Amino acid sequence: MSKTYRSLLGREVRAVEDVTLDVAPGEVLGIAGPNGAGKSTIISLLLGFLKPTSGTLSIDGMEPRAFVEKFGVAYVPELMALPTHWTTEGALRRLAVLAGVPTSRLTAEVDRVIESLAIGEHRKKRLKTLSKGNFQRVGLAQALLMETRVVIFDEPTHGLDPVWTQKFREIVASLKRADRAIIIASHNLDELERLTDRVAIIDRGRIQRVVTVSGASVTALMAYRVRVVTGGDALVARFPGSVLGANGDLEIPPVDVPTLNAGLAAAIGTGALISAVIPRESALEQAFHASVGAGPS
Amino acid sequence: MNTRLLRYSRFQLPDFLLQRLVLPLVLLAFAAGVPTYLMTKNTTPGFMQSPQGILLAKQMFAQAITLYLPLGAFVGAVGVISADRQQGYFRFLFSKPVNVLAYYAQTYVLHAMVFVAVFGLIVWGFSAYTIHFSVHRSMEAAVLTFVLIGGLGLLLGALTRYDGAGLIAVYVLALILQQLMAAPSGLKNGGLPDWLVWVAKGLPPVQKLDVLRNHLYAGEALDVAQLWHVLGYGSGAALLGFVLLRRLPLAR
Repeated sequence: MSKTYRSLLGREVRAVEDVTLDVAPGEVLGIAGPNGAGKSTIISLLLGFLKPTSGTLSIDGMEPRAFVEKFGVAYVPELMALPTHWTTEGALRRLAVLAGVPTSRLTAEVDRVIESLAIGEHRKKRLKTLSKGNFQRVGLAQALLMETRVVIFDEPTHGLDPVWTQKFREIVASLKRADRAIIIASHNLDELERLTDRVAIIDRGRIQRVVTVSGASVTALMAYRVRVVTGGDALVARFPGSVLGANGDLEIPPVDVPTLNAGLAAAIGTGALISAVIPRESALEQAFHASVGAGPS
Repeated sequence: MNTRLLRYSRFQLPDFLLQRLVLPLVLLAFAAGVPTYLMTKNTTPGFMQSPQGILLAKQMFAQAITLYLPLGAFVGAVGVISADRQQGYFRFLFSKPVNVLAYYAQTYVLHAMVFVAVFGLIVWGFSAYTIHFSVHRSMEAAVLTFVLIGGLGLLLGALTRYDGAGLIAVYVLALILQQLMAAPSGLKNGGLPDWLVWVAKGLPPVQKLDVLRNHLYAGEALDVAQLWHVLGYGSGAALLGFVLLRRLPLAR
């Protein structure tokens, strides 16, 4: 599918171009890309908020808008936009009614999501008085009000503190279900690597590659940082091109896993002491930088 | 229309009454309510039945209508679809299993009902303090007003974020041109050039709406052709608005 925006003056912006992507039930798919890459446009297309200029898009064989109107989608948008004079509880009650929560369970369901997102102390507060992080938690809470087969998060941890970023991971883990597809758009690669099964890397509206997130490949070449206590020189000798920093960290150029282990074992055998081995980049980060072009800072 | 939408109306009703209709009601209270109160307080009991009292009551009623009907219909008609789009609320509302057309149809119907009912109450209260005005004919006038202005508001809201400014522009332009055409100047179509006559005829029939309202208040028979023109124009605009709402993307 493709999506091109046209201004009244005829100026065209190709937001999404020839994107082909499928998500299976039970899968968590990440969409990664720099700002303006087209992630949010893909999500708007998925929800039927936009229509593709060409190509087709379907959810369970249905046109997206028809699917959403029939079954609903748990969705947290990138920008939290709700009338700010609504209270936290009021907003959740309204959205619970629209979500189809029966009257008999309305209070219990709203209480449940308020409790699970720990926003009880803000339930009577107007949304305009909430911090960005708390507002984001309200956004997450409303998405949990209904049982859906499709869950879409657009930059879900934007504005969340580290504690709630961690809790968000637990929420996603709890949402995983055999008949449910979860899509997370983010530019936080670490987050996507932890949460998803596959990541589609998008740049300038095109899918550059789709990476399966399944741990490090044995044969993939990766750069490492080794924290050396003693015996740095022995390590430098084992890894040509490596650089020993003043702080004792050894930067090893890209090697595969067997070569890394052999070199480390040999150095340790000669008395070297190592406290940590840290990949400079994960496979996903490597793929991302190779696709998008910017290297690690 | 499904039950969850009907249940949602308990939020939409107070939203309209307390956040939108409150402004015309406050203005109305100052423009007609306070003078009525002062008049009934400071005059003899039989004053309202005197020719001066009847004239005064009719003048105030006309003032109330002029203020409440267009303004009340306006606040019920604009900023409904456009605000949801512009502010991004639609992303939350319409990721839920909600039919977009049904949602807005319900919103407009509720706005119309509250707008008409409140006007009926105003007329009833005004009648109680002054002279008799027909509540049901006043409510019919309010229905006509909302059908035309509400329909236009829905159409413009589906088309553009500037529906408020658009509606004012269209309404005022139509009123000016159609009043010029109808003015007893002795010239055909008020001396307007043909192309402007076509423009005036193509614009919403606001002048006919005024005429119909005046007939209703006076208890006179309505011109059926005028009535169908107003109802048809408003309903047609609403229908076109719904078609556009279905065809145009929610996000822009």
